[in-house]
Amino acid sequence: MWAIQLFNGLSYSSILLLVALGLSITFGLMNVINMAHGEFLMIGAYMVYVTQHLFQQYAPAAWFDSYYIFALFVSFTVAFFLGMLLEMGLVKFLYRRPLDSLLATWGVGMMLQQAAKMIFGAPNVAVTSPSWLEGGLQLTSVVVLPYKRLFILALVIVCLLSLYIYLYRTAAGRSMRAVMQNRDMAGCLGISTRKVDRITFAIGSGIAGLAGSALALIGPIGSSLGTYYIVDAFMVVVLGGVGKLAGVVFGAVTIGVLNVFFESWLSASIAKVIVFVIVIAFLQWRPRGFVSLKTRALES
Amino acid sequence: MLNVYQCQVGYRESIIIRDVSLKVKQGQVVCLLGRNGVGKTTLVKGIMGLLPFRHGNMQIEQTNVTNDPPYKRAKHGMGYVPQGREIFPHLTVYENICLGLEGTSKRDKRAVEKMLEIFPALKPMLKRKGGDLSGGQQQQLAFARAMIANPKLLILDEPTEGIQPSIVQEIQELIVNMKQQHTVSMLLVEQSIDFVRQVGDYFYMLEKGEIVAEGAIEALTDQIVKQHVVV
Repeated sequence: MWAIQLFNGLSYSSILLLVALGLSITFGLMNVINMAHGEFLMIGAYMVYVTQHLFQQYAPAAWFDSYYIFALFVSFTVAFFLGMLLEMGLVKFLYRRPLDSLLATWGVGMMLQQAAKMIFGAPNVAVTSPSWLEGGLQLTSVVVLPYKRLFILALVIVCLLSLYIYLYRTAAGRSMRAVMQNRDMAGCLGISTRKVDRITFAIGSGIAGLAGSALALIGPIGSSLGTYYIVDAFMVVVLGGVGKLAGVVFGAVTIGVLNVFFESWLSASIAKVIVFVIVIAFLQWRPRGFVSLKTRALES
Repeated sequence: MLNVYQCQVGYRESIIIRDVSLKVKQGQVVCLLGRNGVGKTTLVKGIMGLLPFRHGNMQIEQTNVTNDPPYKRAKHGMGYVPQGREIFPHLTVYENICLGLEGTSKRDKRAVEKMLEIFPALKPMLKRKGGDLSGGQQQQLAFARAMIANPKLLILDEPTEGIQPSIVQEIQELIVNMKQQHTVSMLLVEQSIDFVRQVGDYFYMLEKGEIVAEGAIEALTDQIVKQHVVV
């Protein structure tokens, strides 16, 4: 019994982690409070829906099962470029004004929600999972691990690893970390800080799109999809502490496992209340979260 | 090499630097002198592009860079060793040095090895975080980071401030060596008048954001020093 609980907890954690990973970049590294992050999840989810439709209409039926792999790329790419547009059109003017960026991106989020309603209609839609994600891994007669959940777990691990390699093993990631630690000095060394900002924000948005495509597997897709996750995602990043990948992992696993644990003997809403109370208490003790970089840039 | 014409620089509403014109010729070491708080660092930040010019303009080798952001100026061959060193604290020493190449098209490895020959003290530190180094080591790292790109013009803002005497000595020798090679021009903000007289070609004396005296280094008399520098 406890094994199932643990798996459910980890599964929920992996979803939270995927949702919060993009946010940990835009909020954690760039200090931009992007309230439209949830809408990038929604865009990612709708992209899966769109890709599925295109496959149903134009591709041979035998190919249908592979649509989801394409959808992952489409979701990432579309969210990546929309994120870049948002950065160039709005966020770049608001780097020194965090509260304004919160309001402005919230507005953008609402616009995106309305746009989704206009394009796809108000009712929720759903996608058909590819057949290779149906069913589950039968461990014992009662313990079944659904393939979808396992797939999301794997997707999270791949995302984390790729992000880690990008940040810590490539020259582009090195420049990105330099800009986030000391923007002025990075500029003086010849790093185009504008370009780094643009790419960083776009990557954060792209990962949100990817997270959205995972959400499409496990629930209905609607224009308000992102609003269910945005608060949790911010909680994860704040609890984990900004600036480090390990922080997000810690935040997501803690909140995910605690949530499922309390849910197993309390109602869902009470469980959430208890989890948030614990998070708030923890932040009283460590206001900067579990792991935190001590840089002058973050203190100011 | 560097030509600054009647620049005005300041923070927000307050203007610190008024109508300063300044020239650094090819191969010269030009020293910027003055007491604390007269605007030396503000002027340097204006020249690097970290603070905008309200008025005036600036050229590097006849190219107008007045409105260019810092990274474009770096690509024009400007290297910067800032006051307080500004090492990236959470990046390794190796990564810190490599970042100096961002404005160039050179590749990392060979160039870093060359820098390590000049600064052997950094060699055992390569994997450590920049923030773990002592002040003197950080200053050497800041030099390595600036020099790796082979800049045409080095801007040095109080490179010997607040570090132990043995490393002050090393850094002064380094500046003398660079000067003798005639490959790089320098704009040097420095408090030690003895060192300025040893290495400088020309000086500008700054007071209350304006240039109150300038001339070849021989013209830096004790009287000028007494009037504008000694407290």
